[in-house]
Amino acid sequence: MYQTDETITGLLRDWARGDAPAGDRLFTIVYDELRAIARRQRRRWRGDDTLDTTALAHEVYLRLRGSEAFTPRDRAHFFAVAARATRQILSNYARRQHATKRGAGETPLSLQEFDMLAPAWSSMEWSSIDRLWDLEVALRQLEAINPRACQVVECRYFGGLSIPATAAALDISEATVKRDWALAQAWLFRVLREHGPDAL
Amino acid sequence: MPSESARRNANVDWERLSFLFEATMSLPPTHRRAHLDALRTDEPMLWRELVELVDVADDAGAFFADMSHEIITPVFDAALASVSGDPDGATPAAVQPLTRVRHYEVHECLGAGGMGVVYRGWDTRLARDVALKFVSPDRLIDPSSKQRLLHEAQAASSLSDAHVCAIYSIEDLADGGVCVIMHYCAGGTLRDRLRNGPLEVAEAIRVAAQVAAGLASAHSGGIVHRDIKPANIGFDANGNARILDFGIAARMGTHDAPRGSSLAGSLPYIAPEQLLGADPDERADVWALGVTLHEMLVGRRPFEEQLNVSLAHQIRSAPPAPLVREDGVRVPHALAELVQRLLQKQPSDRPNNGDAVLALLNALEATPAAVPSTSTEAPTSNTPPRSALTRKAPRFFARRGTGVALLFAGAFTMVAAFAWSERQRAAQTDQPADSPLEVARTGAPLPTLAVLPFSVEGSGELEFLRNGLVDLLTSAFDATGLVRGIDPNAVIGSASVPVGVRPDSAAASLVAAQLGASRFVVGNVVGAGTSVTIRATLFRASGEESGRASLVLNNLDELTAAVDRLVYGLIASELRAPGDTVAGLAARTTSSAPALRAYLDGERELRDARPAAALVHFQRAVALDSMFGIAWYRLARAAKWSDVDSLNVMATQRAFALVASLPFRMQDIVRGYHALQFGSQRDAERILERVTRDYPTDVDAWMLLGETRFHQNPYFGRPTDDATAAFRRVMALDPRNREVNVYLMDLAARANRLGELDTLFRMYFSPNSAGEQPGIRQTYIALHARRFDVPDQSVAPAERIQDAAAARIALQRVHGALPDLRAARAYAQILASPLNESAIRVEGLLALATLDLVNGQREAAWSSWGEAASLDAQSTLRHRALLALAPTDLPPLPQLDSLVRQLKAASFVATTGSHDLSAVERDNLRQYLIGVLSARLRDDAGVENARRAIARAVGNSRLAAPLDAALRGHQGLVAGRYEDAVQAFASSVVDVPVGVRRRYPALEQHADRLAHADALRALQRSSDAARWYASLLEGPALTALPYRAAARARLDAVSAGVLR
Repeated sequence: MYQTDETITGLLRDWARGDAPAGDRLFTIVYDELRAIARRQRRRWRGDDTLDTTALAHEVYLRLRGSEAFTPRDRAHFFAVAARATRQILSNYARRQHATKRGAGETPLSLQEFDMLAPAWSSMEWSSIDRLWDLEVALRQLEAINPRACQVVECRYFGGLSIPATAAALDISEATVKRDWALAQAWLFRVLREHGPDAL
Repeated sequence: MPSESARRNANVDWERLSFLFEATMSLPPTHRRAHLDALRTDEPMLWRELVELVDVADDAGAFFADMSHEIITPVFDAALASVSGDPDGATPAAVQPLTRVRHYEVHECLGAGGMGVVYRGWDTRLARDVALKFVSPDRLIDPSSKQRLLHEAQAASSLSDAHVCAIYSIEDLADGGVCVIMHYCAGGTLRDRLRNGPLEVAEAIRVAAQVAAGLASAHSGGIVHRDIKPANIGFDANGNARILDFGIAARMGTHDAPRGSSLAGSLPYIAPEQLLGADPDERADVWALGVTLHEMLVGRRPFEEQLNVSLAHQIRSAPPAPLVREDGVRVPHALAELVQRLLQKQPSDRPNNGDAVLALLNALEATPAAVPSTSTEAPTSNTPPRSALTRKAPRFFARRGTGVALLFAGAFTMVAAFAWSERQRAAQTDQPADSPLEVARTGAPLPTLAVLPFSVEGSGELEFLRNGLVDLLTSAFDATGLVRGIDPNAVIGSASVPVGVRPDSAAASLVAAQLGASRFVVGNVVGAGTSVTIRATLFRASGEESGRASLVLNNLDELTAAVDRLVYGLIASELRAPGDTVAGLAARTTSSAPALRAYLDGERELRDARPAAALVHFQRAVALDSMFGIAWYRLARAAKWSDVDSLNVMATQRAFALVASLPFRMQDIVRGYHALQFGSQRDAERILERVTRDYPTDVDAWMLLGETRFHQNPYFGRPTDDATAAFRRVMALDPRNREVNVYLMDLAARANRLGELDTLFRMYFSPNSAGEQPGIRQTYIALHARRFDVPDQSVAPAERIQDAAAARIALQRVHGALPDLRAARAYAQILASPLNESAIRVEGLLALATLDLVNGQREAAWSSWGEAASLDAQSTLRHRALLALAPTDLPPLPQLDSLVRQLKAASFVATTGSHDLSAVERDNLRQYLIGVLSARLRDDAGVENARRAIARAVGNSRLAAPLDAALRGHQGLVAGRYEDAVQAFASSVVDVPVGVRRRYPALEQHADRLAHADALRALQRSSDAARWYASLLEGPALTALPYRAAARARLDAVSAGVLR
């Protein structure tokens, strides 16, 4: 899985320095690990309360850390990556569910297939999947407007990180985290409401 | 932590907004409003954002808390439970091609072919280029696929024709796959060449002849290719054509052809007999060659998917599209005949094989070359051209009478003529011919751009940026796909002195000229402390400045993102289109260069009134970047224009879902468009008026505003002509916009502004407008001709309307004049033909019923109704009810009674497609019809019952409140309580999108409007009454037909009263 002389800390620091491929490799590793551990945990916990995604990220961290020396900064960055991976798992699932339900994906279909689509506004239910999917779409729009705010949402919401932990993970001040989090929530909520079931 | 480069323009200043937001939210709720009012500055956009966000802030927190608990965790559970394979979106490990196969070196990838990926290779022994087709092992799992591959090799290798792509050998690979080594076609494929438009006529003949020669050789060897198409025709280094990919060839007369392969091949090129199940033989190849030849000559295929008619059906039964070229060059008659022979539906009517085709083509070359004709007939002077169809035009002008009308017409023609000659000029000497939009428009080669070394001041460690920015910026420019960057090494090598931001233009221009660049970039870098400021300017080779950008970096980690922003800042100025349109904004909202390119291609097609072609480009754009909101919106517009309504609906919703990511102006436009399709028309108009106030040069907004008024005004008692001003604005701002011509023509026809109609007609129809919206061309020619009483024979047979699609459009656009009604009958009969599908037949039959009833032919009407009822009982019932309400023909009371009874017993089911009413709304409609008929029957209890049924749905239905009011109005009118009636009618207008009204013509509320006018007249409010009577004379004529005579008569009576 790893290239011969790569370490997690190495990848983290390369990524922090702007090496995008390192970031991708890091993400893939964390993503795979997250899924593997979660599945294992789930089998163990059948019948218990649902999974705590933060606890999950911690376990991934412990496993991947091995004997490497993580600085607090590395740790914080790591959890930001885990938060993103969590979001990714959710959005992939939501997208697939959404696609099978509506019969359409993100990519446009042929003209004939379009003819068979029912208009979305006539759908009766706004299930969890739909909500999650709409959140994902809204998040991507937010990402385009201000990537940092999107990362704050990821860390706080999907990663369950505290305000100080988020600040450490993203190398910004706690005040900035608070501001971004507050505004992002309002912004996202507005987008969601405009396109929700009671909208036009 | 590095953030991903934010390439989209941040249209909201997030930082400021967040501070203001925090400050506002820190106050107790009661104090916030005052604080916001105090903040109201000259930045209305920002302020509006702030207000909206503060409004929802409190609810937002709770919403997310709930969501986390109820949704995130449970879904995460489910997500993990379901996932078993690779995560979506993870790129599969890229297949690493070998770098060497035997004695062949493997070089760059050329593309994907029939069964594998093709690379360029080098034969180290024979020292020549080859093509290597790699077929991966998982394609060869079963023996039949390997068998097929060997077929290909055997088939091709048995032919040694100069026009067949030779196969040299087949090598087995270690991983179980196979590599086919073939002749390398250095000149690419015909498909690549056709991307830039059609070929010259002579060249097309040459290529076709070579392909025919290759086919001749194959056919005489007993081999049928079965997949002839541009992608399978390659060009070697000498420019000679070679047939590729005999992957599905079959040796005739043997039984080892691949099984189940009679329908192999590509659908657009498949011969009709194959679609009917026959096995393809040489004549199928001949057909495919015919399609290809057509495509080479015109740039489009002879059969394209159209509304309601599939491609397969077209191939089987429709005649091929005419051979009309965009550049005005006429295809020689003999050649056109030849193509026609190749495209005969019956194989026996075609030339038998490649040899026969070759002989015919060679015979052609003997004839003189095609003489190109000029494509424009309009004079370049400012006087409006005389119409060839209207010899009587001057008489009409004289007949018009009042000086005001003439003056008005004259003023209009001046504007029109100006726009016309603008268009001519625009078509010739453009916007600099190599501006990106022009390039996208014409498909010309990309302009070249050189980035010169930057000057650097400040710390020594920034010195690397001197040449470093040349590298970075050049590749970023290349990535936009809009310019071609000059090799940085060439630049650095030649430019000896770094030029600063303000170059000595002579020196800089000289450098650019030496490099052969049509544009160049110069700039400087200044370091102060840890921050770095980069400034750059874009110049044309002439020295004229074309764009400027600058930015400040806080640290060099941001350099990559900075480079992208710089490039977009510099190039954005070049993307401004006339009238400040959407295209300029598009550049800043996508980060995918190919998506932007596809989008610009689409805009180009839209401009030239080819919405079907535009559709394809926009679809590609959104496929490449699904968040490309503007592209989704334009896709919706193109779909609407092409009458693919379901696609319009879907794309509108996508665009609307992405509205938050759009620039502010686009947000309002998309909201307005969305409201237009799905919501309140009043809202739509309001939003669009706001946009045009804030951005008076926004072409799109004016267009939409015009459309809103055009479609909806009659229902609100306003003249349709109000739309004209908006449309004229569009034409003034963007002389190349042809969509607006259609509307202006319609308006001119309605208002009888014949001179204007004539001028617009000339502007719209160039002799070479191929591939336009189906039927529209014929519609206007037909209507135009009839308007001037030109007898049918003078309308060319090709122009007469014959197919259902065109007839439908024509029917929608019929006006009230007598010749139009005759034409309408003809159109309706076409639709009613038993050959069409039932929905279309019903439409035609009901139209015939209307026409018959208006002419007093009850028997005929009943017969049409009877037939329609057998196909669609409900629509017929609604239609009969509707006509029973009309003043034209008062059916006897027992009939009305029976209608009421039938309505009571019925229940309206949903119709297919978009723009339907909800179940509740349909029931409201039914009750409304019962109510109005009851009013006619003087059955007040009946009306009351209907009202009660409807009123229950108020709040749950768009129709309930207005329809209830309408019934109240009718009650008032019948009882003589005119004040009450007028008051009720004032709130009786149903506010639904035009698509819904078309589906349920009762919602056009003719009876209500007439009653409203009558009530007003009874109250002596003549001008108001006149307004409402007049509104009945506008809008779709066919549905209003039964009301028009009465409306006109009463309007005249009222107007006479006014004048007195």
